[in-house]
Amino acid sequence: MLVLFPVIGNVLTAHPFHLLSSRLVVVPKRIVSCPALLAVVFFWLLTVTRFCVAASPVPGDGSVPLTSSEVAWIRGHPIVTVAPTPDFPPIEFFDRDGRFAGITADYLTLLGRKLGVTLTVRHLASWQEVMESTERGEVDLWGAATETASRARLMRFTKPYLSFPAVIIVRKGTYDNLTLDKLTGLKVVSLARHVTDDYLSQQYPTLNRIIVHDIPTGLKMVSLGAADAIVVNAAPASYYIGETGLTNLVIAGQSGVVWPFSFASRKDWPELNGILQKALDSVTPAERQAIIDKWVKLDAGGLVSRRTFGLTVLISLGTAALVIGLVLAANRSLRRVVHQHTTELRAELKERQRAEIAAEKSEERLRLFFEAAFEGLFFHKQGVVSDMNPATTEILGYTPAEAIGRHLSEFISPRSRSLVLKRMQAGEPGPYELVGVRRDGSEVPLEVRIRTIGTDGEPQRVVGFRDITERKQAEEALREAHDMLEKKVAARTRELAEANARLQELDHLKSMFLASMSHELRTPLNSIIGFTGILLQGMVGPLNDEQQKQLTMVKSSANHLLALINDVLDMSKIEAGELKVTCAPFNLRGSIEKVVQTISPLAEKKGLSLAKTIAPEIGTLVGDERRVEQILLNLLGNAIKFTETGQISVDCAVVAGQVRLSVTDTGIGIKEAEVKNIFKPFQQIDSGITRKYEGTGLGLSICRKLLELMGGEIWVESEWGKGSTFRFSLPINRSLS
Amino acid sequence: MKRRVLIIEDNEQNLYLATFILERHGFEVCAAQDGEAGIAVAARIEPDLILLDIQLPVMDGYAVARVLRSNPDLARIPIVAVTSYAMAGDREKALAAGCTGYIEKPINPDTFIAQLEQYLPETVQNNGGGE
Repeated sequence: MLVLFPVIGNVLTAHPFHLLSSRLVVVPKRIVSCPALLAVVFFWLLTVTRFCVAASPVPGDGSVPLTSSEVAWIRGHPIVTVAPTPDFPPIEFFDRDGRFAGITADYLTLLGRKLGVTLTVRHLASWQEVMESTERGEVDLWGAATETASRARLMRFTKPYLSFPAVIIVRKGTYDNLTLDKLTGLKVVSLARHVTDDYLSQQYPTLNRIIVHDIPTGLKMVSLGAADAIVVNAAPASYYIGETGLTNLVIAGQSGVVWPFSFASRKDWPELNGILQKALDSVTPAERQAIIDKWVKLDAGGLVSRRTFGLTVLISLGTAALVIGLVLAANRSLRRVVHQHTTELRAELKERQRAEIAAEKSEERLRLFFEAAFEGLFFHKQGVVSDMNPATTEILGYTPAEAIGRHLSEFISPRSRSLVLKRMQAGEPGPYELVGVRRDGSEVPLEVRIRTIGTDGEPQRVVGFRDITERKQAEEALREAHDMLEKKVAARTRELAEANARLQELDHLKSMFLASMSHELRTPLNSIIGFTGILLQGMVGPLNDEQQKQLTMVKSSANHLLALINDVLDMSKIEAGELKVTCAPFNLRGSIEKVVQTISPLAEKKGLSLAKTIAPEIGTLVGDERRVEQILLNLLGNAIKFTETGQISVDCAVVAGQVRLSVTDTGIGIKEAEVKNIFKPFQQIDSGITRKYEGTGLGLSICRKLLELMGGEIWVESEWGKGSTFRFSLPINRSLS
Repeated sequence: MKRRVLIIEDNEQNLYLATFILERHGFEVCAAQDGEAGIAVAARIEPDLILLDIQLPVMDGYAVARVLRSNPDLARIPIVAVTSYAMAGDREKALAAGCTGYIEKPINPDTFIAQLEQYLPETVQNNGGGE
């Protein structure tokens, strides 16, 4: 009696018929729990034979009518090795515990029982490995494979017992209504040595195929955008989409091919193929149904009822695709889960890609930096150079071959060697300056920095340095320039001091000149004015009318000359900054009254009335009494001079915190264009009215200068032909009792 | 007794002008043409008023005023500086040197006597007359 012992790897299991663990079942059930998802794990079962019941006594349970030679073969080959495709659920795959599972597994269990054959299961990593292992004669049996011409040279195939379409899967929103003809130009994922890949390579040789070795990887590549599409068997693709939650994948079209799957046995064992075919033929509809029900839960109200399932083996491929799409779109709760999963996967993939790129590039980049650095760089161990960059050669003239192995001290001038080495040993990072020695023995000023770089292995000591010859030269030039500048400044200062002394001397001379001129001019004027006055007084004797008239003219001219001398002297003193105003309390009211009294004879002479209005608060002011009187006298004199009829009035009051004096006349007034020039020196002379009205033309400009010195100001309001008002203000803050 | 005025003045024309005006107004005038002579005359005649020019040869008016003020016998005599110095501070310098008053040249014949009168109070005149 043969006992069926499914073997996984090298381990015999005591539970040969429990190939599916409870955990494995959970996964498909979860997916199946949503009725529509039934379609996802749907597969097409093709029954190609009708079963007949045999009656001869045979090994196993006797349900397969074996010939005696077949029985003998079985007895001569007690162990048959099967190598399933590891990633082809739900047809054949290894579950999470590494156990062989799926429709094919159940079929083989059933066939093994019928035949009394022991199967050894080999768990290989991919279909490609299965193929390679088979080529080496290490595999006796395939559970589910499509017969092709090349494979037929290797294995002998039973009649197909299953069939599945290949579909084109893309990311949602990228392509739809695809066919294989439309894939040109896209990056298409295909599975190594799968029948679909063979087909694509023969029918579409120019297609841009990206070959992967397992279906989940291919699906992820499309999901994450590394590829545009995958052409893959619909059943495992749907299974993995459900399991991994790659909800952004949709079926964009049919490949147009449906692959039939058979058992295949090794070519040199023709008996086995016949035995398998007989066993397959002996599978009853009930047995087949039990296997199907286990993997495809259609009883929850699926598209295909249990009753009709066996007959409805081919369903419109288009409908299936549509349903898959609808299902994925509809299942929101699942989508949330899978979306999160996808996000995590994507993030992980990106992170991994980044890390890989970074790792690949970092070393190259470091090397580039090292080579391209403008600073010289020495790597050293205990002062012995282990590596250097090209800039070092530029600065010091040593080639790497000459420098590596030397001690750092050999590159430092004896002058700064001990000090620098001490600092280096102390680990001072710098920067510090030292004198380096080139290969030719010449010296070069360097700026040095020291670092320790933590690399993978032990910390690397690095000395970085740069040639600071130019900087040193610039510093030297700067110092020279500075010294020269200082010398120049000193020389210039001396010159200026001398010039200043000369100027002061000249200024003194000018003052002397003015004083002297004043004296020299006044002395003869004293005689002229004095004697004219005596004669006019009649002290010497009576004068006739003509004598009186002419002597009056002499006296008038002499007075004018005196006024001119006084004004010129004042202007000179002001401009030399020599005129100082005094600052003492005086009775402003008294000053105004005195000036008005002094000037009133002149007004009377012209028949002008002279009025004064002094506000009660006007009393004592702190300032220069003589100068205030001079200003007022000047303004009143002008008013009388330029007024033929009417009146002159003087007003004094406190306005806006200042003492304000106004002199108003009803004279000729000032043209608007001339107002702005009225306080400039010699303005009256320029205006061309000098001949009618005598004056020096300096009075108003002296008034303005004096007021500036006293902190006040002067201005005029005038209307041509109607009269003028001259106003001036004086600060009150330290005045007025 | 006529009031006596000493004029210390080196310019002949000016001296003549002042002398003429003063004599016409009833003053007795003595004159000195330099500082030293002026001081000597002042000590001798003890005038009622001294008119002092500032710009004098050898010894200027400031020095003369200081010497005159240092003599107790002359201390009460008013000294009026009559000068063509018109620079800033001239008046102050004259007063600081001991002058009682200050008249700028050129003198005005119309007001000259009135200006002097204020330095010759009636009491002084009467006292002087009583001596």
